[in-house]
Amino acid sequence: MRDRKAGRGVLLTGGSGYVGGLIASTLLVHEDVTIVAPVRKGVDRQRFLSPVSAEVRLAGHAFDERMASRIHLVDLPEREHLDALDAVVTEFGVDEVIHAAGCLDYFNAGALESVNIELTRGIVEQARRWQVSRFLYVSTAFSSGYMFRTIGETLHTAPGKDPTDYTRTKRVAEEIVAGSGLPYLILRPSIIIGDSRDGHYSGKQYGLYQLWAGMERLLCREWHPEMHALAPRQPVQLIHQDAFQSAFLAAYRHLPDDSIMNIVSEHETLPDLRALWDLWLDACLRPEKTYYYERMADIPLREINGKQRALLALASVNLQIASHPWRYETTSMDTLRAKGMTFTNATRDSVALCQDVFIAESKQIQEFLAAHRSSFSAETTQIDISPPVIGAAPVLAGVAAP
Amino acid sequence: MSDISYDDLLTRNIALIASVCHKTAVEESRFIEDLELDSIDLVGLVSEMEEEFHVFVPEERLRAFRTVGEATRCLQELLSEGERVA
Repeated sequence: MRDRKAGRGVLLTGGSGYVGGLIASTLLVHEDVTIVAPVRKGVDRQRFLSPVSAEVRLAGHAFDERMASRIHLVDLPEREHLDALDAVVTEFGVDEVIHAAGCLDYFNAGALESVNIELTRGIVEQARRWQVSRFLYVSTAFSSGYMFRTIGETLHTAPGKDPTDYTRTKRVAEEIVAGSGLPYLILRPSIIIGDSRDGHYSGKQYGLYQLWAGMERLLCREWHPEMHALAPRQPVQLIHQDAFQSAFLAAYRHLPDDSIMNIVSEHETLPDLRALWDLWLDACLRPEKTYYYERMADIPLREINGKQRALLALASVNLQIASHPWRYETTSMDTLRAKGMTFTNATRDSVALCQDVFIAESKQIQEFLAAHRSSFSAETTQIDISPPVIGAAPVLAGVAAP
Repeated sequence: MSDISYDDLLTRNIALIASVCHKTAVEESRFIEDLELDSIDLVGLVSEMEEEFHVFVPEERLRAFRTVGEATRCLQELLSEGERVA
């Protein structure tokens, strides 16, 4: 365990974002720190504190004035002028940087480069000047690109093909952090979803929530007697937000300097992509037939319903990432579990809880269900479309599901 | 070959955007920055365009849908190429 001064300052970037907010609430509850949070123009104190205080309260703690006073917001300077943070670093005795700011906009190459790489480079440079005791970077479990072997807890020296520039830029940022000469900790969470205990979620519509939001807004208009789903039986790498907080805290407290940690649920517990489609279809559509495809290329896009085609286009990148057989080294997770870390794995049932909350909170879905539930099929014929053997027609295998 | 002119396509696209998204668009309007559509709005709008013009927009062509004019030009090309939906 690291020696830590009481009341020390921690500089947290990305604190107004979803992951940064989870980190801020965890630190406020469990660590004696003052958080210095640089924020973009337009993020006022109320907007920053609202999700943080909600998470603190939902975790069963009071969020009072004293706790609020441990958060200091400052304007995020332009990247070329990050030394403007020197004054607050000195004032609050900052001796650690937690860099959680990041860009997730897969197709905005400029923003990915600017935020994930250049901002990281800039913050690292300042952290070296400030001589902080550690630099903690929040990366992603997918920074390796597509690999067909177990993804280790080391830098990716031989990365696979990248699904998007997002994974590439996060990998470059990891290299910047690890090459800084500062003691570092790199955390690689997989896809974060709602809380395992009550299903609440306060993040943006990324990952699984993008798919659900697409289903809500594109499909929940009329009943679809046939559905076409990209749904290989591949476990989807999900973690609950409370599990992320628990892993963050354990890693923050116990991992030695220069560690890299994959934060993932145990492979055996995870629902596969087909199970996620089935959860949704059972709750919100119950078609007469569902066609399941192993690969996007096998879906007859010209022939299917236009809104289903739109949904597949929307979620195409995430569905293809989810279709890949990701496997992770979990040495750090195993070590921290042995030290008492509680980490609730994502399972079909725990994801169902999150989906239930999403559905319950959606006016559009509730209105759709009220209007169309009577059309739902009593049973759905499930048809697997196997990848065709070259020169042969696609293989159909149907089975009725109650 | 498409027998719809660019101007006709543009007029119908602008009317479609008004009807589906309740936004007033012009040729130069950017879907995200000016019309404030998110990615779900955008793919939903594209599916309405596909239905309206009986055309298939391959996923890789969606990136060209930055402005109303660019989308219209792309639709015109696809119609010329005979990219029809079933």
